[in-house]
Amino acid sequence: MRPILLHGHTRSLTKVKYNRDGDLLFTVSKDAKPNVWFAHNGERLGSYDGHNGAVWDLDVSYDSKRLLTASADNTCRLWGVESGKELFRWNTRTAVRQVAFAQGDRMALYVTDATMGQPSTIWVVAIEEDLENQSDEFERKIIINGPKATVASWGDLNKTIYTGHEDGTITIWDAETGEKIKSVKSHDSVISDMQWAPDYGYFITASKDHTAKIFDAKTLRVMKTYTTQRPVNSAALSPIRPHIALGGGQEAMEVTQIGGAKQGKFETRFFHLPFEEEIGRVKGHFGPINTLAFAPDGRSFASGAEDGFVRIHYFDDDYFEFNYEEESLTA
Amino acid sequence: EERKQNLQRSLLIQKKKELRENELAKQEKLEAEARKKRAEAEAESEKIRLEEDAKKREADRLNQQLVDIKREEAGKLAAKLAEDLKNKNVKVNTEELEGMDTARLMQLQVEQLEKEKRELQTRLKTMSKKFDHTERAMRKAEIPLLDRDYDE
Amino acid sequence: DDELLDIDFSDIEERYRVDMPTGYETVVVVDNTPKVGEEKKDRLLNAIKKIFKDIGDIKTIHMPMDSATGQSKGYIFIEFETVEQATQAVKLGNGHKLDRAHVFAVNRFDDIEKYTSTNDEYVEPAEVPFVEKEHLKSWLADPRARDQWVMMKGDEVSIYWNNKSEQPDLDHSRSNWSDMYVSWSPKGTYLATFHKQGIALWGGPTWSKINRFAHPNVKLIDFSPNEKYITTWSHEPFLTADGEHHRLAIWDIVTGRQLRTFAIDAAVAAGPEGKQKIDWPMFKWSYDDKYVARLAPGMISVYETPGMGLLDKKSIKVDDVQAFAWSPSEHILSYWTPESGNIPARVSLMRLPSREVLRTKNLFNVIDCKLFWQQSGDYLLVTVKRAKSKKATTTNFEIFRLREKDVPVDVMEVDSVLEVTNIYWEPLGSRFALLAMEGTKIVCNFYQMVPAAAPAAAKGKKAGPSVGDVALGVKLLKSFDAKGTNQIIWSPKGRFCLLAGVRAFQGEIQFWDVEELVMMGSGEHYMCTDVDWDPTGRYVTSSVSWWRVQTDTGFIMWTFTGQQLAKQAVPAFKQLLWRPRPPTLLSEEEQKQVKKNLKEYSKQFDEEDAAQTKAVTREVLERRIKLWNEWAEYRNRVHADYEAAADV
Repeated sequence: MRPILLHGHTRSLTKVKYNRDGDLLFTVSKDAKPNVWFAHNGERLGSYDGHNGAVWDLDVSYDSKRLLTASADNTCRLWGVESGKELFRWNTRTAVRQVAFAQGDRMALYVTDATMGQPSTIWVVAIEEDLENQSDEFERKIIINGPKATVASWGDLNKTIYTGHEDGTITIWDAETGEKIKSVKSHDSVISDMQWAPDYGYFITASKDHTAKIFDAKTLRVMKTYTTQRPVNSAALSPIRPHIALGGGQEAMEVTQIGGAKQGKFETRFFHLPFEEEIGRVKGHFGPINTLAFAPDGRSFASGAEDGFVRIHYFDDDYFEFNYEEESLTA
Repeated sequence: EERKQNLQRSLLIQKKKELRENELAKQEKLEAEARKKRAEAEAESEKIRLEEDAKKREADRLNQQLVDIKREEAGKLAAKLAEDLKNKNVKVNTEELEGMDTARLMQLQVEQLEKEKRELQTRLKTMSKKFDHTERAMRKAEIPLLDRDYDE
Repeated sequence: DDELLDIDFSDIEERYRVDMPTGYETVVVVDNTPKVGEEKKDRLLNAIKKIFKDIGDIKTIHMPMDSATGQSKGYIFIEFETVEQATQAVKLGNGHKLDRAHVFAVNRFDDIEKYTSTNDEYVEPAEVPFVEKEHLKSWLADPRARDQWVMMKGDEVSIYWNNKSEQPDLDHSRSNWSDMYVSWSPKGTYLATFHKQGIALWGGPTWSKINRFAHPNVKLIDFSPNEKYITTWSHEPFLTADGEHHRLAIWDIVTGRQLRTFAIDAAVAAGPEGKQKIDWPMFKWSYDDKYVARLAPGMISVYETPGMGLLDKKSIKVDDVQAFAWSPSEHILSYWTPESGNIPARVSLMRLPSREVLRTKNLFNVIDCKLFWQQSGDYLLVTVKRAKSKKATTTNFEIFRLREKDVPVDVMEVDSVLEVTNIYWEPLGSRFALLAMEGTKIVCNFYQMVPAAAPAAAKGKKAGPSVGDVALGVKLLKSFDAKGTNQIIWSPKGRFCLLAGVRAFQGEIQFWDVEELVMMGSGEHYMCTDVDWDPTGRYVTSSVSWWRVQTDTGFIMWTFTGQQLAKQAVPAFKQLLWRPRPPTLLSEEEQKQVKKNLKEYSKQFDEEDAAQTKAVTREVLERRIKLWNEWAEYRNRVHADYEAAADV
């Protein structure tokens, strides 16, 4: 099937994310204007106007009613998904890098950048059902000493918080006490993405060190490594197949455009999860791919790139028919 | 009194007459105008009709020309395809070829290209194998000579 | 592996060290003189005195005698008045041919002294013990008839066995094996590595060191075709025993002896147009290693190995000679001279050592000539460039037929719209390819030489694209648009060639069968810097070298028909060189026999291949099953832990 191209952003994409039902796709970019689209046809449902700087991250609530955005304009904002209205705003002293609803949507975290003398900090805030009661006070604040956090997310049952750092370290924090539980450095460079398996047993990371890795959530043991020749900006786990998707690349590749190619050469690469073998590539973007997401039903995926485009690809039938014999030969 | 009445009546009649005449004249004028308009409209529509006819004829002529060109090109293409196929010794008899339309010939051509591609692949595979085996056979035969060469 | 980390050159550095005066600096040793008895002693001494008389006064001359045989020992000491005279004597006398059997080797006594330690008398330097011949060719006997390549990746140099599409087998690998790049000798016997102190050669099944040549900061080397000698070059001059600054040295590979060194002006080396890149090889070897020749202003200097004296003691004077090339199969030199006054430009063929000129062809209005020898020396193709207008040039070919009486020359005009870029002879064949520009369009032509008896017949037969294109003995086989091509690379076995667009181009590769005139396949290796054939013409590698491009380095292995077998991403990949092979030892008759019995062999190979494939498939399958089970176990374990935690 032909990919769906989403035109709407004027600058490079920073994050694409589906809602739980998979009917909506939320996108944020450096152009300060988050968008929401119908995933099945790429039609734009609306945008969220108000930010004055690049938007680095987003999260959408379980019921698809509320949207959180993290921006370089020193705010973290809460929006009504349908109304497009800004419901609440947290003002910060530095850029907000990451944002995430806790499971149950009654809490959220956001991470502020280490700049202008401020340390990289995780802020845990309560989200009120009734906005009348919403406060801009934080519940907890975890100061990160050392390399700043580039990615952050909640662990299972909101007991822990996982952060990935500039130097390739991954840290688990106790979400209640703010104590550091565990820290390992298995990547050699910036961790640019972290996405969870549905059951929170493991997660996948993407790093500028040209690899993506799967970590056991509890032990932070590296279970799998996928090696490429480019910085990896995003890594996603298929919800239905033992496959992963990687996106990345570097600007030098842009020379390929000179030939006036109709199709960009930047590729989303697919690997078999346990075998670590590459199984396919999807070309299309004209710049490095910054963010990837599988649709919750696993039948399509979205990619956002430096070229300002979002592409939604539906897998062909043969993708679902394709199987390694070995998968069924096992005990 | 009667005269007066008569006069009045005749005046009235006169007047009526005049009125009628006026009326008639007016009506006639109107009718004439209407007629003129009608005639003009008819002339206009006739002109349009003629123009349209001319246009249609021109279009038909162009169409016909296009059809002719297409037919001619198709004919040429057909001839070329037929020639190609004949050169490639495709087993189609010549008369049959000449009777075929372009679409059928094109299809034949595509089939032919596909076939050639398949044949090339088969040929290359056979040739690769032969090359590989020849090289290996030569090497195998050379080994005893190498041993002798060392000893010297 | 100590020998690697720091190859010890101290002994050879010692050998070529410039010493403090010893008191013998005016003495030379003339070696390879006839061995004579007392009765002929004076006559020989007089003859030798005569040879050196122009240099200066001979102070003393001494011929040691062997008391056991009563014969002279075959060498003579001469003492001159000055060091300059002694130096002169070495230059003049070395390589002097007294008669057929006696070619002098003249050395300074001090140099000899270094070989001989305390002995009074000159003793032949102990030959460097070298690994036996059988070891050096062991790779040729691989039971699976595979070939090797050397790969340089970062600081690591590794030699692999090619396994087609499967993972190659590592034969040997060392870190920091070479400071620059690596190079094979022409028949694949030696692998040369570059070091600050000089060149080292390696070989044999264990890749032990065979020999080394001390030449500080050596940058370029050139092997003689039969691997007897090696030429080395450094931009930085070294000091010779005579206090001169030299840049080039020629060595005997087996003994490791330095045969002769040359000054070579850096400006001369840079070439006539002052090109930055030096014209290498500067010294060109004859096909049999017997001679080595070099171009000097107004002459070609031919030296005779191993003495390295000038052939017949003088260079071949050729006014204004521009370029020369050896025949690849005979002692024939080809060279050309430009127009001068009333004398036309000339291409000449000269036989050596007789210096008989076999053929001269006069040419007019010439801008440039380029000499292209066909590999078996049957033809010499000369491209002759002439001015057409201020900007445009035209080219024609003058093809010398060496195998025919009086060397007839075919003249062939090239379509005047074409600007010829390069021509490429088919190895072991009589076809050649031409790359040319037609405006911005790139055109490739294939030509075939028609045997002398046949041209008339060939003309009659309407085979080529146009009869007008058929010169006397050259037939145009095919002419086509070769978009994206800047190189044509023939298979070492002929018939097949690659049209490739490398370096500045996009990396497109076309695989041609010139016999059938069909493109068998095509592919792309983006940003590809090098394309090479394996020595048997069965495989092709394309590669992206880190030296030129820093992203996506690595190589692709192709079949000769253009099918991609494997793509290897190799970080910091620098170089991949197939190991050359010597010509087969099988006689024509034996080769015929093998071809006749190919069916028998084939059956066996098919079986071997099937077994191999099966083994590999099984390996892959087993690995995957293992990984799949491991992952499943891990998931089950995590799930069980989760359930247990939930229960609590």
